[in-house]
Amino acid sequence: MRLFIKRRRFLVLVAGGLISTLALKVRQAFSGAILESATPPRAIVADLDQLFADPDSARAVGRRYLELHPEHADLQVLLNGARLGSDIHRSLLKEALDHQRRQDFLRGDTIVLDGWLLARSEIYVCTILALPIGR
Amino acid sequence: MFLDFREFEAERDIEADLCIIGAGAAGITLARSLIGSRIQVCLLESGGFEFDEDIQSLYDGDDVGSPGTGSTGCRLRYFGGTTNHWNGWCGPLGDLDFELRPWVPQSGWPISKKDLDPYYIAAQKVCELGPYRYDLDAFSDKTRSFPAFEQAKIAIGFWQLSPPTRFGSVYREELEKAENVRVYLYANVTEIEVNETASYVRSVRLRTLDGKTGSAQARYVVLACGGIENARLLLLSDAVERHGLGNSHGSVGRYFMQHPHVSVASVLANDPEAVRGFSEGYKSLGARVRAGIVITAQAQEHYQILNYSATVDPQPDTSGGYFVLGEMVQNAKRGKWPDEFGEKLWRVITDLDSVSEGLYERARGRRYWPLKKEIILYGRSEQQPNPDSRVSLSEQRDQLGLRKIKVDWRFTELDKRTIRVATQLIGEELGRLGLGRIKLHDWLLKDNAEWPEALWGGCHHIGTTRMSHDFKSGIVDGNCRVHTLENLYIAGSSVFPTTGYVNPTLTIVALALRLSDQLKAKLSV
Repeated sequence: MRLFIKRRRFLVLVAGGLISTLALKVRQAFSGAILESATPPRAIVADLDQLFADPDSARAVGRRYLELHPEHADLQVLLNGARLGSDIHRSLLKEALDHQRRQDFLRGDTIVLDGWLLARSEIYVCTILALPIGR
Repeated sequence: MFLDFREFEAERDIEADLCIIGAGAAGITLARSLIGSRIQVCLLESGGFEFDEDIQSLYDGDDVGSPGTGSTGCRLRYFGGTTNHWNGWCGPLGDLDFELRPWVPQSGWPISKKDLDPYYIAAQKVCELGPYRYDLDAFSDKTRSFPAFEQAKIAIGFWQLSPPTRFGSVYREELEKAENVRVYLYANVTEIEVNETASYVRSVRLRTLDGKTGSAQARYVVLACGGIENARLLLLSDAVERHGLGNSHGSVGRYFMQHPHVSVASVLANDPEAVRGFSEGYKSLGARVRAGIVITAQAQEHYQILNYSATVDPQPDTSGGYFVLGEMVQNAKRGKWPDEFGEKLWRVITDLDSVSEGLYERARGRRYWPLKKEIILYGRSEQQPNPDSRVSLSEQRDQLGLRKIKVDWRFTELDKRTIRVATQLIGEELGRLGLGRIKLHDWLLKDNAEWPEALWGGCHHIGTTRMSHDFKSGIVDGNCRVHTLENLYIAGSSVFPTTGYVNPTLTIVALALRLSDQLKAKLSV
């Protein structure tokens, strides 16, 4: 399994906890909504893109993951897999996401993509960005 | 007292109570420990006080296994031995390194860490180190903090750095003055002669490069020639036992191990300064120390892996304007017009932050050393004892007419899995603590037997005359006596049954000091 991610892009991706910020925005967008096994709406994706200096990096990670796990091309599955529980208050979500990332590393719940060792929640959030955009 | 064996008359016989073969860390330590006693010691050294190409060529042989074996380039054959070029990293083996580990075949020493602790304390002084402390409490202070790693996985480990002690220089005068120790230079041992049942050493045969011969006779003989040469001499001594001394089960030379030293991952650090504490040597408690990351005993057992350590090696970033300016200044001093002057000048102008920061630090008498975000994780691992990894004799002969060595250094699946799992554990902790992310090198991700060309063994030649409870599974007993010979002992890393991850010199010295106590008791002093 190999995914070519340029080092510089990856650096941008992890710096400043941007993945956590991204996940927060996603959760806020769908808070209280019934999620179909659908794709993120276009407007949300546009907002998410602006969180990244290089959003293509996040999508590249997600696309590669989807190539290997097409069954995960489902927003709800990804949110569940990243353990974004529906009972978490929006204001605590960023903290919860950071906690989830730490827990993933503590438990060894990691995925190696092209040699990069990442937390499962990080991969899943990138994969959300890589989903086809909805209406 | 130093004597040149080349100047003796032919067939000179040397007599002593104790004959030590090899004047490296083990041999010199053993000889020094007996200074002032009633024991007459002869210390036999193949070389002189300086490097000599002809003498050194006696170490030539074939490395037929993994690259990075270093059987010739690593070893030095003159007074002081390999301490003439070692880099001084020291540390004791850990408790678990001595224990039988069910997941590591052939693990377990016939002695415990506690048996060796008193001698480690004494060895610290021999290697010119600080106190016998290797824990975090000893070496963390207000100016230096270390990450709070999950102890079920990894911890901070320490090496102490010897100056490094060049045993041949530092202890030469002491041995010169010792009345009961005679050091014979240029005295090559060609054979260990035994009685008809190969149960007792009668003498050792000596020869110079120009053909002069002689012998040394002693009540006790200690082989202290290093991890490869100890095995070689046993194998060469085949006049009575066809396969060599102590080799009735074919184990002499087997279980050859080193410490695989290799770059294992790149680390993209969120803040390289946060890991600077591990990357430099520093002084603390009167010692020079270097920190690293080690796999805990708990993790070794849980993940069924060997012992392992890694150092974090930040890369200096010299691309900034300050360094370019420095280069231009140096060129100007030499009257040289720099290449690509315009481009360099542009880099200085557009990076005035680097220039001003560098000049500020310099004005304060401090080194300006910005770091790249990319850091190298460099592993130093234990190896599984593997009987197929071995030292044997080739058909080629050296200048003395002795068969040369052939070294076939091999790895096992557990060796590679250890490095991969351990590196992932380090990556998990760096990620958990927000310190960065790692990218494992490609060779680690493959399940095949591929190892990178840049790998080397640290010049730590270990295990070829291993300790064991009985003669079927090793060569020497817990007191380093060859099982089948009453008066032949072995000193050095060849007796280690397992390697741990830590550099072997401190343990070599500690074992030599312990052996000294045993020999004193035998010789009733």
